[in-house]
Amino acid sequence: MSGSSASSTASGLGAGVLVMVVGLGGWMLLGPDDPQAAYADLPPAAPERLLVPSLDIDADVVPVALSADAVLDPPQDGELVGWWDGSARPGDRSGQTVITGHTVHTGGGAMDPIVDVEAGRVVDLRTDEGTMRYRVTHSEVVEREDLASRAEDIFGQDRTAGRLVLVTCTNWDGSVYEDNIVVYAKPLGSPAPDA
Amino acid sequence: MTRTHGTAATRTVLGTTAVLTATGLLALGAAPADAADPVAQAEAEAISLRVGGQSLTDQVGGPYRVTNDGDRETTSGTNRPRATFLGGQDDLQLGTLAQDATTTVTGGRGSSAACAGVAGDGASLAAVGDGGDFCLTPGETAQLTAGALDLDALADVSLVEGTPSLDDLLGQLPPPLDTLPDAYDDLNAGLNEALEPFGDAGLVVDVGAIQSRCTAGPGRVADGSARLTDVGVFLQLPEGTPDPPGERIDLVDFTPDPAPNTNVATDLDEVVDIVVGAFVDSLDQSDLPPELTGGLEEVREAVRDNLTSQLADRLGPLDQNVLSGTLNKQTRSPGAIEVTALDLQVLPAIADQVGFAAVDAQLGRSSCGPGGTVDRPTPTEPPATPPADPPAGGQVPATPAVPRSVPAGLADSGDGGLPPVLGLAALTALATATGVTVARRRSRA
Repeated sequence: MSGSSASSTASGLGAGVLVMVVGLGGWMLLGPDDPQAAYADLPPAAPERLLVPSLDIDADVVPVALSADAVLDPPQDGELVGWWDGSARPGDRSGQTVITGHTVHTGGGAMDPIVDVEAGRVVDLRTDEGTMRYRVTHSEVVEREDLASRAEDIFGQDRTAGRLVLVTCTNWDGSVYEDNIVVYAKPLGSPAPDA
Repeated sequence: MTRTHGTAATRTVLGTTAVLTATGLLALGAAPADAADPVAQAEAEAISLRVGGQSLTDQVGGPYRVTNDGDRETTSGTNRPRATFLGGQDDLQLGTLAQDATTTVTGGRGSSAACAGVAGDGASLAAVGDGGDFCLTPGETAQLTAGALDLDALADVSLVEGTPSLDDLLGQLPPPLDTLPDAYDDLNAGLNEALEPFGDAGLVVDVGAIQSRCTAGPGRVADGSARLTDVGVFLQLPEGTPDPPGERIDLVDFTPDPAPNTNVATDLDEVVDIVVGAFVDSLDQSDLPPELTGGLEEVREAVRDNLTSQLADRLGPLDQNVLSGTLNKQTRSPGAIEVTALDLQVLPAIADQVGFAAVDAQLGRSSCGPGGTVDRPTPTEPPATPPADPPAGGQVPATPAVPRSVPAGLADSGDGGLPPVLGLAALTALATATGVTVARRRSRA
């Protein structure tokens, strides 16, 4: 191989590597899901389906009510998730949307993978008006006592940014789940304007 | 899994069964009704047993129940249940029973705690506290062997003076149970043949403690758990067995902290498969004396053949649901939880025909909550102490604004299945049903 052809080959390889690095970096930063594709303003409507593509979560959403003693029970069917019907709908201008589902120790719970969620991933809530897309900002593990004491901060409806809150259980101690895990996500679409 | 040995082994199973029956003699009754809505309530019951639809325990003590209306605490039943019973059964010692419950009202809001269970002799009792700890520290392990109970004698025992004998109660069992003596005979014959090489080895059931606990109160999820301490089953080889003499072969060690609602429901084929499998595994993994290992394959085949073919055929329509049970059974409702360490129904399928299971037993049942808030519309003074639990600032709103607990975890999806370690329990329960029926038949003869 001549010196010229060797130099040309090296340059070609360098360019190829550069393209790969940039592409990979962009993929890592943005994630495998394209957040630009699906968010939009939405008229407020109850959520009907929850999707977290990075975790293969795809679950139907049903409304759930808060009990008189402030317990929010997910749907008994572990494959479903519940939307607290006292929380905001996707597209509402105020409040935040609260979704809860079971984590099942032996598997089969809609929220089983949520413990592995990473900041930056997207979450979709489908309604009969369309899809509201959110990006995960952070998550935290909260002891049950702390959840009670911080309930207003975590679930309060006095917010205006339309935040999405996903909540389930974590930290199996061999007999029960000791803590809750709460995932927060911000909407990538804008809340609907006032009527 | 059950391995037995000849008649002694079978009798041991019967003994185990009887233990359950005997345990039931300790008793608990129906809870009294509350006069007003309590702000805190809890209940504890060490043992409850019903055979043939009739309670064997509700005349001996009954559950211990505590309610609190915000001004005063009211109790019913006893938190010192009787720990001895079965007159005439000198070899059978139940050991220690515990059932305790308590309530507290702080800042107008009620909390409750309870614990209940059974244990061997010498166990230490602790009163339940606000933390809802377990109330039994095991002492000596109660050991149940074939010689511990004479079923013929048991049939004539009155659980409480002046009440019908067990035989009288069993005499009222409905027709479907009449098929059980024949099945029992088949089981007995099969096990005798299969375990002949083991001479006088005996099946032994150890019980350290079986108990539950719970708590409920404002600002937290009602919580409960169950614990099985030193509960296991082993085969004790005879003293004369060389190198080492009197070897103990562990067959089953129950997990000490079973997951909530660990299911024991199964059909007969599944029970037999698990029992045979566990039995053979135990043999394979044991350091049996050389003279006993030679016939291992024959033992395996004999057990499998006898159990799977004869027993399954004989039981016929009953084989769909021999036993239904749950370890660490948990039932939740808003602000409340009930935990039963061991809940068993033998032959629950007959309930469709006669309205009750052959045997219905609960060991260690604790119930906590729901609670509430004292309704004082015109308080003259603020509470001396602020509420122990959040929310900060105070009062629980009449209609909660936000969730304060999200119980979003499950032990399993409820698909069922029989954990291998429960195989022996299943067979033991079957033997219980058959054994008591045989006892009745013998008693009548």
